[in-house]
Amino acid sequence: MKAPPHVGAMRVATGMKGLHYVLHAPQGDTYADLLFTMIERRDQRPPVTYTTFAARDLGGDTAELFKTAAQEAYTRFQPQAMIVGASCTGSLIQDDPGGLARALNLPIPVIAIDLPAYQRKENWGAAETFYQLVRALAGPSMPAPGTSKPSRPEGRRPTCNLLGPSALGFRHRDDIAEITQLLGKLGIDVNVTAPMGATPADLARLGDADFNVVLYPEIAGQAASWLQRTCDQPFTKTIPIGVTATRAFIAEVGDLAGIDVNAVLDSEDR
Amino acid sequence: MMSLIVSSRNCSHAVRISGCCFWSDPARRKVIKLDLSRAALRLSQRFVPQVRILNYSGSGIETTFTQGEDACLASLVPTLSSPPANATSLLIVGALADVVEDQFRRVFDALGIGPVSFLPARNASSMPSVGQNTLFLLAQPFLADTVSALEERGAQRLAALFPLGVEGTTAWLWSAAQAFGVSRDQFDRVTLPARLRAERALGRYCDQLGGRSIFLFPDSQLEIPMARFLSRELGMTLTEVGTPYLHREHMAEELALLPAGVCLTEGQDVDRQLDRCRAARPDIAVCGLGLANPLEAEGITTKWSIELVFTPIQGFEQAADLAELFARPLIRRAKLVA
Repeated sequence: MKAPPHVGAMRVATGMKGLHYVLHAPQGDTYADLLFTMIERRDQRPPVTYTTFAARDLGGDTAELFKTAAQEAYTRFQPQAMIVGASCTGSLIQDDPGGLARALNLPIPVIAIDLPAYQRKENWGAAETFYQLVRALAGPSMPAPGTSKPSRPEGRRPTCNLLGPSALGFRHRDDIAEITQLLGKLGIDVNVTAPMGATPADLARLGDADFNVVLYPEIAGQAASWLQRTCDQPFTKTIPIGVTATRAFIAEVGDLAGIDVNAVLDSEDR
Repeated sequence: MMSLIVSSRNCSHAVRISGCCFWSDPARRKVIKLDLSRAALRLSQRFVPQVRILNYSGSGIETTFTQGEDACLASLVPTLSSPPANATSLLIVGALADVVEDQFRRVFDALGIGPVSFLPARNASSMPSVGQNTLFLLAQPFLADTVSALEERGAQRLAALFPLGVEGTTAWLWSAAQAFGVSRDQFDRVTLPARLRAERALGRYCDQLGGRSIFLFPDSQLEIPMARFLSRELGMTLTEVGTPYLHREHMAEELALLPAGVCLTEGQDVDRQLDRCRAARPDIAVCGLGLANPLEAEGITTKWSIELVFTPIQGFEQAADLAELFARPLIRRAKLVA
């Protein structure tokens, strides 16, 4: 993917529910709406507010423009959480969206996503955004350092999170359905799928799962590593594409969940 | 001859002229202030006369995509040669489809108006000249910078409606006819058959579109002349006419013909515009591609504004085609519902 990193942030924001992205960007950068409503044929605009500063604003107060846009976006969309940042052109005017948004004292988590527009690309932007969201929203409910994870109660099915699917991803919607069904057959429940379909409140309970399934490491790898370090959740390394890899994936999931998957593997043989 | 190369994301609407290479200057370069104009000048000196390299701003921090055409044409004006003295000539300004250009040329020939040239010309080696005896007519309504550049060269703009619909095309041609001393009788003799044919062709669409309401989101800068055509020739009701930028002087003739009390808005506040559109529930919304699917999902029939820029719509022969662009989404919606 060759788009600039803020498009990656948009993919994460658009995949989620109850999250809003305020982007310091000129009018010319608002073309990104098109990607989501035309290419992915979404029936809603992405949850992105652009400050749409114009050339004449550059001599004036673009910072004030950002604050107004963030305040109005909060009032209009009432999100559970907000991410703020700048597009490529927006980053050049150095207005510090994070600091400006904090000054508004909104009653929701506001997470600044700092994306180096000229060094990084779309996937990196998506991974960084998802990681910052997970840190900020799941962080408060993480166990204190040094505490060991309680073992799964007897009789409860193992659970995992499905991490990585986002808006504008190639067949991500289909992959979620397919992998959720496969995990169900193995006796594993999905705790949270994220970012696609998740709310900020859902991210807060990522730690409840026993392990993580990382479907797209280019988006969820960084967040999954953090979850492993912070709450002892292991994650899958195998990408279930093709028969061989899917069988390896089933075996890996069986190991992480501590269940016997041979019955399913055998039945797939026939 | 080499043809156009444009390198940019935002200035997608440059003009195609063979033999000319435009170097656009999108938003980021605008902020970084990379000096493309000097680079273009140096390259031009090296490659002229085979290829001329011009610099223009296709910056997305300006208004909207049709501004790219304006900036592109404005960058060409200083390179145009001066005409021989005392020869009054007509210049048609704004990119037109070849077929439309040919039709207009035939009408001007029949009226005895000439010499007539077009900016942009089809080929870089046949670019028009411009000077104090040049009278020009705008074929597109979004060319404010080009007009300034032409006026600096001493050319005079003929104020007129834009050539959309029968009324617009008639007024546009008549403005040139008057400037070149063509009598009304002669004008009618030449143009009446095409006018009557266009009116007949439009009649069919009056039944389909008359009384329907339309909401124009600001996008292409064609909104105002389009609204005038839709309300006066097809009997449509204008819920709101949005335009990214309003040039009151170039739009004076158009604005005078919009219905009294029409809701005219300038600039972009897309969330509020969407609120008003949802509240009004128009029969058709004309909007940019990014809004079309969400509006369709809410049950509002849409027309992509960009189609109006890339379809030949000017002149008598295209009047009915223009009406059909608006009838088609309604027919599609009716079929889907049935």
